[in-house]
Amino acid sequence: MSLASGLLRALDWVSLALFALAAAGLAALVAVTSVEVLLRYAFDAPTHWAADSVGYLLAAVVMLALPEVTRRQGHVAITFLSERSPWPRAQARSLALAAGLVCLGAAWIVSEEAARQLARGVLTQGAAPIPKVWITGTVVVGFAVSGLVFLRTALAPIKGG
Amino acid sequence: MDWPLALAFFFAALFLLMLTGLPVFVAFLVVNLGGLLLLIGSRGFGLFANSVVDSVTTGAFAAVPLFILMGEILFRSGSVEVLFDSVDRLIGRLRGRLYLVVISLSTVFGALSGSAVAVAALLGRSALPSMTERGYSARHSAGVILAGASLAPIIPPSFLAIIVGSMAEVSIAGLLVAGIVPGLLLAALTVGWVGLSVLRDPSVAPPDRPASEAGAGSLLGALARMLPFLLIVLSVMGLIVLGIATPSESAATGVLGAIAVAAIYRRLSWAMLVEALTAATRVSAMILVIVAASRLFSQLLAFTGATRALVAWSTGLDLEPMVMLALMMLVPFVLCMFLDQVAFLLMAVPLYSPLVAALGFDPIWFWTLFLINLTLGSVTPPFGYTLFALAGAAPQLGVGQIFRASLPVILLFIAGMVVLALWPGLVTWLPASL
Repeated sequence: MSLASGLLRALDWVSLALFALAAAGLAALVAVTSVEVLLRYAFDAPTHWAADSVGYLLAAVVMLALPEVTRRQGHVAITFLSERSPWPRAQARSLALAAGLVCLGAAWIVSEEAARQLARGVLTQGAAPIPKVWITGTVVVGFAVSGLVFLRTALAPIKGG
Repeated sequence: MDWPLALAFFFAALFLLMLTGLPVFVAFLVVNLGGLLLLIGSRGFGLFANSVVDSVTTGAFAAVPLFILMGEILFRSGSVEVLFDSVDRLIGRLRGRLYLVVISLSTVFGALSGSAVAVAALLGRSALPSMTERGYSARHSAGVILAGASLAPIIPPSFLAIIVGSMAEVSIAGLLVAGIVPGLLLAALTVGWVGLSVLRDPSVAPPDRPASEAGAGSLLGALARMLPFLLIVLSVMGLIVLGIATPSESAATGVLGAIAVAAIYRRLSWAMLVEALTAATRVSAMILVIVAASRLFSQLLAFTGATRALVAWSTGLDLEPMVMLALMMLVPFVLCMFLDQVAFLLMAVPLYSPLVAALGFDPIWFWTLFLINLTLGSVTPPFGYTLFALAGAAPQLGVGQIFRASLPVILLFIAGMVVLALWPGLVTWLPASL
């Protein structure tokens, strides 16, 4: 196995592992919200942490699932013009290249903010604060891994010549 | 930068990037990051990071994955098939029965998926071949599917309503509930159209073989089998209507209810739950990443002064409110022939929201009309997205036939919108009673 194919396989595994975390986050979202409903309406004992936790879990669901959506080429795109392109492969590669660079750029920008939050020890606002860098870091990971997946699509060898 | 120039620049850039086939969220990232660089410079990048973080942690958006998960569980557990059989049996020996079955089912599918494109593709693959094979008019069958599918963004729970409510700062519960009467009105108009068509030309609906030869006992059985399914739909909407739970909370209880329904129908399994969970995660990420990437767009428009200036200019025209409404509806009607509904929504809400306030329109009434209009654009030739979803799912029909099938649907929806525009109470009385 060459180094390149090993790296590509690792990228697949990272995307899948992040997606598994995102799906677990959605299951946790159901559990946390249901517990809150039960405690609030059945026992008149609302939690102080449920509302904040929902936001944190939602961030994990969206951003950690992003690389896998990218890997499956599942993003919403308006394709009625690109489908009629005389050079569909070249166009698809160019779009993936552009999307990859934009996502990596976004990851870099958000990582600067994450580094600032880490240095200053910024916490989220709310009744159950956590270090904000945990959320911002999730955004960085989502954009960065998606960017790499886009680049892989752009640079992948054409099967069958 | 002058505001008309800024407005034209931002919208043209976004529109062109989307038309290249770039993922919609990437198009928003390019315009927002480019706009920041242009207007503020790199020191504004912190705004971008915070807008993404704020979007993906907005609790109101939690209703989106939860409602999608509820729909996935009901779809994948086969609970919807039980409903299909029961509705089919209840409607019985009526001429044109399959039209009514499809309208009823597309209303339910639309409620579960929230996507007109998904419903059109699903029914195009499943119901349409069966209808044409039995001698039903292909044009009417396609029309009924298009009309039914177009109810998806209106019939609650609609993820588009949740996104609009959150972005325009309108009651999400109110917007969800507001879709009920218009959705039923449009479904009734479609039934009326089909009924008149059958009366005028009975050949569009041949005498149909009944779903089963069973008698009244079977009807009661059909009702009994529908009961758990209806309980879940009613409990979700009931909790919102009665103001007992927020949309996110009722969505979570809806997920538990869907699991219970699957268990009652003996269709519950770990494999099904895992499939539903992974599908819901993918779809939710696909939608909400666009929301996250676009959030800064409204702030950039406000920063250029375009939003405020556009409101001042529009209100300065001194046009009749109904003329303004018609103009404001014309834009989504035209652009949604080309653009994805979520993409257009995220472009339009920042501009329309202050205009709605300045013109004194009831926000729930306006945004409900807007949602109907989004769906109308997507069934309008030559570029309506839903039309191509149906054409892809039913290639035997041909695009021309599907285009012709869409014309009565467009007229029905326009008629419905005129009724709702003239009698706003039809939209607002239910949310007002919350």
